[in-house]
Amino acid sequence: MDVSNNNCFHCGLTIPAGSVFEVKFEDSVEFTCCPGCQTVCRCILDSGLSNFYKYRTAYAEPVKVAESQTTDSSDRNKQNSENWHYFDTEEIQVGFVRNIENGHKRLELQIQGMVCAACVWLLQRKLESLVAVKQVCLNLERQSLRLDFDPKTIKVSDVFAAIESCGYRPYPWIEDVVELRRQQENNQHLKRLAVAGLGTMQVMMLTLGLYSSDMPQLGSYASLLKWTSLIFATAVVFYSAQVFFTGALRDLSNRRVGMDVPVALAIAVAYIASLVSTVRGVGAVYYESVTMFSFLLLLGRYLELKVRWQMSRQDRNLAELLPLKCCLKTTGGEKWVTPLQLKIGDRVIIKAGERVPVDGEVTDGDGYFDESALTGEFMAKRHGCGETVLAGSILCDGFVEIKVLRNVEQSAVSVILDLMSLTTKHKSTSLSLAHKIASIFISLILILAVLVGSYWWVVDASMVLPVVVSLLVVSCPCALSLATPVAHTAASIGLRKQGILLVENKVIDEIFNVTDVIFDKTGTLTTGQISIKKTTCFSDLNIAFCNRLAAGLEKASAHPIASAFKGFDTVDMSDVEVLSGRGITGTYQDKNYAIGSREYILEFSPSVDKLLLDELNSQRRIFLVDHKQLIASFTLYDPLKHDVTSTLNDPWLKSLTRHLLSGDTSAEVQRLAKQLEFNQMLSGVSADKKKQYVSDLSASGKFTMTLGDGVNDGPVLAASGISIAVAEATSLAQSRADVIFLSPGLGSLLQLQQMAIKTKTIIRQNYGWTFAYNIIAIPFAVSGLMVPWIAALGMSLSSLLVVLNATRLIRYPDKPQASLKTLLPPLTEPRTGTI
Amino acid sequence: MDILYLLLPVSLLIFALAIAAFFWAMSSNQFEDLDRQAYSILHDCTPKTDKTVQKQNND
Repeated sequence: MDVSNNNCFHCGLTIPAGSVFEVKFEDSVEFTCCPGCQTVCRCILDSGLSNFYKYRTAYAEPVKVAESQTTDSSDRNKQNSENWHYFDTEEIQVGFVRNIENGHKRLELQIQGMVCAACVWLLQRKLESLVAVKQVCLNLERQSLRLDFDPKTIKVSDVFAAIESCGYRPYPWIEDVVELRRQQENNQHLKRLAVAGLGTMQVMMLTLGLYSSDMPQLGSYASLLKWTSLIFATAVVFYSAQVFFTGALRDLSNRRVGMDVPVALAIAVAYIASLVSTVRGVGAVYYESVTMFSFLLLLGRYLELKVRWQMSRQDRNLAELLPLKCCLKTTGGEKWVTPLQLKIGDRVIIKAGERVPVDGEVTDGDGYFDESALTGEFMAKRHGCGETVLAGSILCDGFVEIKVLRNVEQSAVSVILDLMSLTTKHKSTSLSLAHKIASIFISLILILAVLVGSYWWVVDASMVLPVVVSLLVVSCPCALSLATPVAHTAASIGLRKQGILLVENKVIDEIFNVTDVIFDKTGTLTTGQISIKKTTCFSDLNIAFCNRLAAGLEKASAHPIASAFKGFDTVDMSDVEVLSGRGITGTYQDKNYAIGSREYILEFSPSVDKLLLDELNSQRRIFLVDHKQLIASFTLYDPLKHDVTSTLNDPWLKSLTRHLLSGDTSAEVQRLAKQLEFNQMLSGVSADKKKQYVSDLSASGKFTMTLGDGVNDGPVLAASGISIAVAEATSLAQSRADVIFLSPGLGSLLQLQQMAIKTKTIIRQNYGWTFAYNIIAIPFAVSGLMVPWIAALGMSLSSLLVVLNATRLIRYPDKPQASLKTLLPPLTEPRTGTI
Repeated sequence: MDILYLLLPVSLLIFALAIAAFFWAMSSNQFEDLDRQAYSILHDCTPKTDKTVQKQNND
């Protein structure tokens, strides 16, 4: 893994200018991006686990810790284990801690942030080093941990703290019914594959003998070989191929001719025909064909399923958005409970940094709430007494008490989720081209089989069965039914390598129908991280000094805007006071300064020119003043992702109608739409309106493709023809999207389109081959000239060719990826007016 | 070639045994996480202490 100097040694993010968080790794000095990463990195290295950094294949997740908590690593550990004390109470442990033999307990956790095998290694070593931990079993695929421990010497909270000290986030294991069913299904599939695979090998071997037994001197053994083959084939047909029969029955009962119908028919006819000829002792057998179809088809399906499961595993539903615990105010004091236990009318206390558990009304205190997960709006909103706060939002600073208005099921988060599942169901499941072609093809073959059968019945009755079976085998829609799904599976694996998760295969076909592409602003086109675009001075102080003053004040605040000042030098302010949600005041060299919004500034220093402020306020700004006058204004901006412009200039995107939707009302949206040459722009719209907009487009005959992130984009994504979630999107939105971009930037959109073109070519080649083969082979079979084994071999080779051709997609792209350099470039728009 | 009358039933038996063994492995969760084991060979069992490093240097 390439570690460049500009990227955090631990998490790989770009290191903000001016910050120095170094760690000693072996003989060199490496730099991390934040104190959180530094602490975790040191903790890992100090425990002698430096191999983690050698074996990892992906960067770790960035560690998000408020700066105040990271002054000292021992302090931090202490604080953590205090945080987790809540999990030491027995009632809370129900569900993820249970008793096993010897008085030991078994703890089951979900671990967020495990990205590669090195993470597993790291956690394993770390946890095994704890006293009284008996057995540690980590599962990377399921991101889970099973740990046996002795409750007398170690507490559950210690385990939580140890995991967190490595930079991972533990969650109590939630019994996931879907996941459990998948696991069982996965096992079923593997078992079927094993039987089919082994059975096929045996039958192939016996068939070799059978082919030679066409010669008269070996004839006496033919019957033995046939009967043995029959036993193997019976196991394969009745155990492994069962799925095709149930699938075919389901299709037929729905009056459709699905892929399973021809497959089941071919298997059934070939098997029954072989059975009849085995019992009668005359005629050809097709056991090898039967078992081979079953095995190849099962293998293809298994790979397809596997890929699809892996992608939808991002779905961790509500658990991440809602807090695990919340502080309930009772008559006797305070009590920790789970959000599910809250009832309407309960009072809940929320401290800075905590998530709101349910929708509620603020009854005491006020503070800034980060609602970005719900609304996509990155500017935190201030809520005071009597105002409603939404479940899932984070309190940035202060301390509030809320009255529960709605329980968890009725809270906005859950409603948004319901909305999404509703729109998901409304998606039409149109039969794809592949299904149509296969249906027509199999219908033709069936008609042909009947006609040819009748013809031979008249001419030579003994030829009926061999000819019909030959026809069905040689023309088996195997290659046809493999052509599209295998290419799709290969394409999704190929895309995965480029950091694109293809959840719905149909995207590959449908991307060519797209007429309108809809972009969300925050987080899709922009990075979602505020920075300062311009510092404008209004006094005789220079820009650098203004920045330092501002940074000195903002240092005390936890508000998202404050993070924009992080890279700057500061001055030491005294008497700093943070007025939650409004502004900050402080004293430097006996002079009072204040920074904040227009409203706050007018209150602090009424003598400031109000008209000037109003004029400046048309853009997103904050102001720095002293008691007399305006000193400086800071224009804030949310920088564009590095490759947005080049992506949007692509001829393909240029040929589509481009729309920009944003929940943001600022003039920034308008400017952006103009700069990037969008055809349509709509600002200040809610999730519902966005959905309506997209639905209207679809109703007017357009085919839409939407890119977005955040839960509020969920409905609009679900309503769109093709939905794409961009990296760092909350997992909720991801789970509903057809495609998920994992690498930052929009370049993935073009890669997706290129892969779609490539896949289309491959599918065409596959169909071309299959039809050419059938057109040549079928006349031979019909005329009775084709020996059955040639039919089976021809068909197998044809299938193999189709599969191998499709796997070429996995190796795509031919060009090596530009790797880290393009993924994590310096900011494209340099900060003006900064030091 | 009469040996086939013995060998073919034997192959059937081996087939049955192999399937049974696989099903058993399946049910005892040996296929739960296929990714991790592939890497475990790269990972040292115990972190190198100063002592072992020194010993290696002496060698």
